[in-house]
Amino acid sequence: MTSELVERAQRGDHEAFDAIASAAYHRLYAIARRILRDGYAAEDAVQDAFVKAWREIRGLRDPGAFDAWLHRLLVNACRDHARRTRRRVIELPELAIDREEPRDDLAQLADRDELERAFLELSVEHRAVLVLTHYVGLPAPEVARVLGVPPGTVASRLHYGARAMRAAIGRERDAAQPVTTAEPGR
Amino acid sequence: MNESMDRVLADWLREGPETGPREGLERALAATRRVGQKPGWALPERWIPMQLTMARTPSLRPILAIATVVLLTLALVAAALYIGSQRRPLPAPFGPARNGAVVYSEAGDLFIANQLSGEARALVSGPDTDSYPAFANQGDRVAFVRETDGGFQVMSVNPDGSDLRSLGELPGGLDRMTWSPDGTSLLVSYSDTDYKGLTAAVVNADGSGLKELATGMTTDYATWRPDSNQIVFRGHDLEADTSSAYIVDADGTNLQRLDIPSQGDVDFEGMTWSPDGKHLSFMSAGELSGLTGWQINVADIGADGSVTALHPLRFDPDADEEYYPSWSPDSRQLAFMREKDLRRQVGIANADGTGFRLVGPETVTPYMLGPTWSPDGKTLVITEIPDFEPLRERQRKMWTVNVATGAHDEVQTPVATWQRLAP
Repeated sequence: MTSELVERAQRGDHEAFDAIASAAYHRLYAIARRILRDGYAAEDAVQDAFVKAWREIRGLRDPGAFDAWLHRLLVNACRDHARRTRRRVIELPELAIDREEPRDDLAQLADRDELERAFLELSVEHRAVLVLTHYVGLPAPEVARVLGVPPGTVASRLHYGARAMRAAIGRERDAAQPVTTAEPGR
Repeated sequence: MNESMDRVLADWLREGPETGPREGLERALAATRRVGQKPGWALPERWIPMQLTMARTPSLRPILAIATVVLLTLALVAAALYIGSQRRPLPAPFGPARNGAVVYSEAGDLFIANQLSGEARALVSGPDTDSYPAFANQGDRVAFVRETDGGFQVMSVNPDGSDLRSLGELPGGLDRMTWSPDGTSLLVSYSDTDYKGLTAAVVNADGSGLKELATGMTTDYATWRPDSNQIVFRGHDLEADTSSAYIVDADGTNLQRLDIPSQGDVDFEGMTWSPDGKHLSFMSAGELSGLTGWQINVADIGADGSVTALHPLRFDPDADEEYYPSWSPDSRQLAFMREKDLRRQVGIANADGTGFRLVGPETVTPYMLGPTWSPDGKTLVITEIPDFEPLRERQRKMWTVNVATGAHDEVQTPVATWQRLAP
């Protein structure tokens, strides 16, 4: 993204903004699609991010920060979209997180439906960290910059996001089986 | 195990469309053409130091002005000598105190300011990136993190800018940092380079070293219990693959699990002590009371670390979510973010759940910082984080709220940490 285009858009040049948006569209859609797991929702989120970017681009002091800013707008739009639709699943078995799980190959054997459901149990903030890291490939300091959180928090969300997905998949499998391996009191 | 999940996750995320529908782009571009652009930041204070934008006062006649300046200078020197000869009393480390200065970071430097007047001056500046300032409870020292090419350093400085010193190198990126109740050390949480969760360490405030808090677990939300030597944290035992809240002495002994039920470690966040050290608030995702969205819980904790009662709270029955609880200095009230239909506003209520009321402005901005109490408990600072560039504190929108009346005013001075002074 050239700073010149951003500066032109800041001066009200809509053609320049169109060029910026067109160049970023597929990338942003792919990110939103992975965070929200829904194509229509992803389209809405990208549109919301673009509208906000156009409206507020004059306040961007450093054109070089445009990409990070646009990513943040997108994550914010995803967050609002997820909250509007309340897709989050909260019917979880009690205290399931503390049970002992078979740890060797659970992740390897998880099928796509299980991954999908487990991913949607995460908050958008956690999903965004996982997508920006594992899909976009941003380093932790850049993810921290995009999300406006300390770098340590990014690491924490990465760790707990992956762990929560493992736990959710484990719960799902336990729920499907009448006999649980949980130890009393654990 | 998480490494395995990371690989599976990365492979799975790479599946799926890389491009969006063309008509989606056209719709989005059309939508941008239906709206106008907002003007740039209208207030010059957003762009240049506030001191340069303050209105000039009418000048006095030259001789009178010079005489006045001389007299004022003499008076100030005398006052400084007098004040310097008096040892300033320190406040008790917890409970209500008198409001002092505020410190915030901006563009890699630290500034100290009068929150009411907005007058600010650089506290620490230079080529390094300095951020995350935190006043000691006694108000006599400011800790912060310095990012250099070589990594991260825990630093501290006096509020007048003197005695800048390094307290030790931080082995990873900071997550949170809190002072010990007596001001002799700091508790820091940082990430390792392999994303295996957070580690906590106690850093001596005299610069004599850093000691990892050896719990055998990752340590998230590590925070000091007021008026004690205990630290509470959310731990994940990597060997047993279990997660819970724990309390431990600062030297790593007397580790015990807190009996707080939680349905999942992601949805159990933000543990914060009341200033009297008797209550621990945290956020969970609703299951404790069957509600959806974030909710606030308060656990009563005995001196021995036992949980004597647990109170899942929903202050406003109509709220979609309530989060970011913040204790009043007298430990009697909680301020928090209350969200309904994507609109956010600060709520205040008694810690037992009664007396709920909304205060301050309503906002639709996705990100709000948790409300911050002034040391005297009479004012709340609310900060809206716009979607603009991160790390630019001055581009945030901030308000002060009169706790008694609920009235609010927009202010220009960020508040990262507030100095407590003796009454």
